[in-house]
Amino acid sequence: MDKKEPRNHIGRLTRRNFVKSAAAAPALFHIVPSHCLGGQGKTPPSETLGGALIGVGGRGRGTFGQLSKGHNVQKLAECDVKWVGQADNRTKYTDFRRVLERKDIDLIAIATPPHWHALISIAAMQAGKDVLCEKPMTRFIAEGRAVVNTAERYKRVFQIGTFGRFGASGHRGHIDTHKIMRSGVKLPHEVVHIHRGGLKVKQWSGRADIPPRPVPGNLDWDMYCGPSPLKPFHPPRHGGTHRGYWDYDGGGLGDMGQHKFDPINWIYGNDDTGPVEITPYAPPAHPEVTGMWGWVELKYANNFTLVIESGEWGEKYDRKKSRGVTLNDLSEADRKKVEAMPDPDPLLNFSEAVKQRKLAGGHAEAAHRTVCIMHLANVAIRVGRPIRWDPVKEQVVGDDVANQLVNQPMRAPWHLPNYTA
Amino acid sequence: MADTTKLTALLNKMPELDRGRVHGPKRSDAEPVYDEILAGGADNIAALVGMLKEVDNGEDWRVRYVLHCIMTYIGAKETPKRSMVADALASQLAADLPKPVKVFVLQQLQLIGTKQHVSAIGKLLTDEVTSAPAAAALTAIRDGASAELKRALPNANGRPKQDIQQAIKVIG
Repeated sequence: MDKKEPRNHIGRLTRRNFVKSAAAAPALFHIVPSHCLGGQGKTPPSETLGGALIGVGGRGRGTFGQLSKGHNVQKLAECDVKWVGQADNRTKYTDFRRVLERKDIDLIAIATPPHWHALISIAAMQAGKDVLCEKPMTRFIAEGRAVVNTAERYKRVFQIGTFGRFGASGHRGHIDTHKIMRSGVKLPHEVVHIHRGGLKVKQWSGRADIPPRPVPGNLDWDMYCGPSPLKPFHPPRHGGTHRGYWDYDGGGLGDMGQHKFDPINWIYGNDDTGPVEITPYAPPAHPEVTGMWGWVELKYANNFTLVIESGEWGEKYDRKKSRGVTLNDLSEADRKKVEAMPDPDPLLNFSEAVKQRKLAGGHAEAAHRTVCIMHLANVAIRVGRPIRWDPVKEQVVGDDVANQLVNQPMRAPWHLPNYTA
Repeated sequence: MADTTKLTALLNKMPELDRGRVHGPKRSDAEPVYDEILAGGADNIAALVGMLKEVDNGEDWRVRYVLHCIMTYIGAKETPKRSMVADALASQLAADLPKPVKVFVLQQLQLIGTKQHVSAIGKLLTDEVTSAPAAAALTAIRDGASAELKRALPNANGRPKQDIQQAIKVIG
């Protein structure tokens, strides 16, 4: 049985589309200045989208750049919790909710630490905005499902801020692998992909020896902590080094996982599923700060195994060897079946997805399934034993502590919506 | 009574931090330490809680580390060992301990607590410092938590009231 590719259309009547169609009606005709119609060399206002950046730290400029690529976006607002006493609530905000109230803002770029990604994405889409969100998509797995449901329910475009799949999906060999994996044919052997290194594990291991300090006067610490527990202010908890704390991120996997696994997930056709058994090799994990690990093996139900190896701790992974799958590995009947399948549609970048009201290449479900790899690896590392995962129910089977890490209570007033799509 | 000298010696089997970072022991070296602590029963768990400092400034990192590692080590399923640890932790919520220490205990009970611990956790719902982690622990436990939250609600104001109301809403 072939797996269905995701539904591509997310049609809607947008404010701008409405304005366009209303403007075409004769009753509304009147003389307007040329700049409003977009004379030669001028962009009409109806073609310019209002944008806002939430989280103006290290990744802010780059994330807004990705949001603006390919269409005309005017940045109307920026928001950061470190601007206490500096915000004017016109172009500079400290509370993202005030930004989302603005009707002239269509697109939101999110570059906060990850513990805010899901809630801001959800609130933005509920407010009718399209979203480009920095990676990793979420802090824990239940958040991702809520983002997916919101994108579907409110028919918004969501694109994760990593683009590896766009390159991978243009490569003939990768397209063939993708088709084989999506075709439902029985794999002729275990397919093993080993990803080694580049995960910055030591770099983003948190420090457990830092004393707390007074909160800087310009920082709204309560709002920064948001849905995460309110902790004393240890300076590395804020400002890029947040990656070393479970309260906000997931260490090197949080920083690099979504980048590295995004093309892998597309190539092996796993945008709508996940592994079923995750085996870690790591030392016991600290409750607050992220630490070292050696490797994690993630087995899928269809005889595919993904191994991620840090190369930064412990003994080298030697349980399996890397082995791909090509058309030549298949029986003639299976090869013909795969060859008869159409190639997947080209992935749409964010601006095209916004224009066409279709799913972006790094849409919410795909981004969620990719970030689940990183989260499940971290859950297994944190509990220190193999875990079994149900990728349909999105629950760990038979491990209470691991399940508590899958869906973590949020600090009031922040919470996930309880609707399905 | 726990032998704190022996407990300290066990904690010191955890390797030194490497420039502040936890590089951890191998699991095969760490698990015998947990087993030995667990063999001492509830007294050992209570003694470890008693060794936690009010301020997490890194001095007591081994205590936090080992206590948490014991939670994950025994936390997969309800077993007599897990019940013993959770009961011991819950009993510490009524002890004369600094509130930040109780916050740490609540965060561990969020992982391994059960219906049996709901009442002990519920007593911390109306305090400004402990209400959020208590509400989080009850949200995680779920079973039996709703009644406890509703019992505490009339006595709560401000932040604790918000925490309780949200937990009730999330549990449904």
